[in-house]
Amino acid sequence: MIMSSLEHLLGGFLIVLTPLNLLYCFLGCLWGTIIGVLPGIGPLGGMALLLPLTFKLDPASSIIMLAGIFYGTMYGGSTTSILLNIPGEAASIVTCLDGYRMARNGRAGPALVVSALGSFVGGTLSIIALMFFAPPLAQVMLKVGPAEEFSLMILALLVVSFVGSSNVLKTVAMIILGLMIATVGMDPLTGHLRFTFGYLGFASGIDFVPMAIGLFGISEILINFENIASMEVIKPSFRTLLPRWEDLKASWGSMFRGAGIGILFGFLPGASHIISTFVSYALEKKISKHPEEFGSGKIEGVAGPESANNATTGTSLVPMLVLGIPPLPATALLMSALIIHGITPGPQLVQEHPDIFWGLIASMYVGNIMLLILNLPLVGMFVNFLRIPYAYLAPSILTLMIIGVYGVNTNTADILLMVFFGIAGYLLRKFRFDMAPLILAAVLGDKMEMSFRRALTISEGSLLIFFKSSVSKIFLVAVILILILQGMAWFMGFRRRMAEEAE
Amino acid sequence: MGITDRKGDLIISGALCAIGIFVVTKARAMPYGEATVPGPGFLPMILGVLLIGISVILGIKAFLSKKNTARVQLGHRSMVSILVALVLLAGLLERAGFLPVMTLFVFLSLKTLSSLKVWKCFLWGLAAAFAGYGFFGLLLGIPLPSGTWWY
Repeated sequence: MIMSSLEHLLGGFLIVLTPLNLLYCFLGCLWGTIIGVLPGIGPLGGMALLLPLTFKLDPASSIIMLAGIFYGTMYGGSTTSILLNIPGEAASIVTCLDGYRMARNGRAGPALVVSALGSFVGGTLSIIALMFFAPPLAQVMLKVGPAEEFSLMILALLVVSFVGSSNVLKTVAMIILGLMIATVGMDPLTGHLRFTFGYLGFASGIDFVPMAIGLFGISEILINFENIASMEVIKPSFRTLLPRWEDLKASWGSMFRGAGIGILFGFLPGASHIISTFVSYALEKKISKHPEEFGSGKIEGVAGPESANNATTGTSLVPMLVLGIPPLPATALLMSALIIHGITPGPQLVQEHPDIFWGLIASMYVGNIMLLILNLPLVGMFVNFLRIPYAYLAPSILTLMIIGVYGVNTNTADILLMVFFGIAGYLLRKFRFDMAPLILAAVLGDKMEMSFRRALTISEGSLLIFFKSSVSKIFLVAVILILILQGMAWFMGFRRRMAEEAE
Repeated sequence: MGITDRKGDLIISGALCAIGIFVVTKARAMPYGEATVPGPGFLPMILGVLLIGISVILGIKAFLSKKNTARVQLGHRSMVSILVALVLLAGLLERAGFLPVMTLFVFLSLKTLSSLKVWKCFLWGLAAAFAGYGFFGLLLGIPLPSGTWWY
């Protein structure tokens, strides 16, 4: 199996190492780094902006460029955390704790270098994991039917609800709302129009790009308007960029541990890239001989989480490519891009489109090296973006969003839809409703409904079909176990609260 | 404008409940299907009922929570201006074309958000619109409207 994977990988490199694909990979990485540095756009917005451009490209080039933006953002996100104490994207929140403190202590350079090295280690190891996990999983998934698909999607949504969710009820409400959004449009089995309000533009459903840009990008900008005050940027000098030998020695272990955590968490749907950074930080603090120094500029607190958040990128592509289930909103956009090109992600993808699958993997190796080069000597250049006051930056970001949303369907109604979702996202985020579960449910909803209805048609209405195959049973047992564990946790918390109140 | 967390949760759970009721009402008018082949109204009905249930629980939880919860700041003068500008932009983009509308949008946004002088805002608007058109429209080939008013 290893030999066959290496042969395929070689084929992937032949696809990537053409001048044009190298250029698209570089453009993706560069754009991703810039987007990551700018607070408020995030990987989803960054990818959506260049989505219309990919319509003219062949599918392999499109996915190479979009994936470059996806993991490029993870690299760039740490720069703002370290220099500004503002995470460029959510997965870099933890990096603020020690990264910014290091910058305040005059050690911004080593923090940035170790963060880039950690990102490289995490990113590269996760590509290896993607390469070895995805093909065998695809083989297994080829044998599953609609009942198993439905059980798997239920499990995925349940994991989203309970893992990393601060308020399960609010998350469940967002999942239901997302599933409702997915029902808008023509019913694929009967042709019946649902919730279109007489507007034919909704017949094909609510478009993913305006919804995602609105919920994430516009809402973020609206929130940032409230604290538009000027931000102090620490600019590292190139002389202080190189880390000391002790820094590297202290951070290697953290990088590899972070990578391991990120690889495992990458498979989970929801906020895995964010959770993995917190777990990595907690682990580093736990095993450190000086846990009290964390939060005051400890390099392990930067290396571990940065490696972890980049390690999730590779493995988060496994469920999207092999199961057709995007675990993160950004991977949902990658999936949309593939669908636009007439390629349905799922178990057949590895066999039917090896150029895309292996081309993507090879491009990620190349992209990681490009990003390391971009993020080390050119960090000073990216820092200049942070010097632009937000009052000037916001109109530019909005302009980019408008172009991105309009460019997909050349329809101004999409801009209005973006504004609508932007306001909804702003209000919901203000009261701590998560947007990721809503987006994931909206993407999965269609497929989930189809699997459910197909399974019932096959079984002539018997719900027992969901318990017939061993694969489906495993998923449903996992569902039941999660529910029981969550119920127990809630009950124990409830009892503790009652006891506290009684005291 | 600021409201308490509790009040916000109550309002949002009320809105979610209203959406649930609306979906259930609409789903009732759709073919529900049979046990063997569920129809298009089947899933919306289930989702509507679930959303009503969850929003009622959320509402009760918020109602029973402490009354003096943290205040959440909502809205901002510039936020409303930008949203109105975005809606106007959507209405004008295909009629007036990308360049004039985008110039106007960036000009208004800068005027609202920054302390730049009028002519500087205008120059920035012009530069942003032309840069956007050049990069995305000409270089990357994204179809940006040239406007119907000018023909």
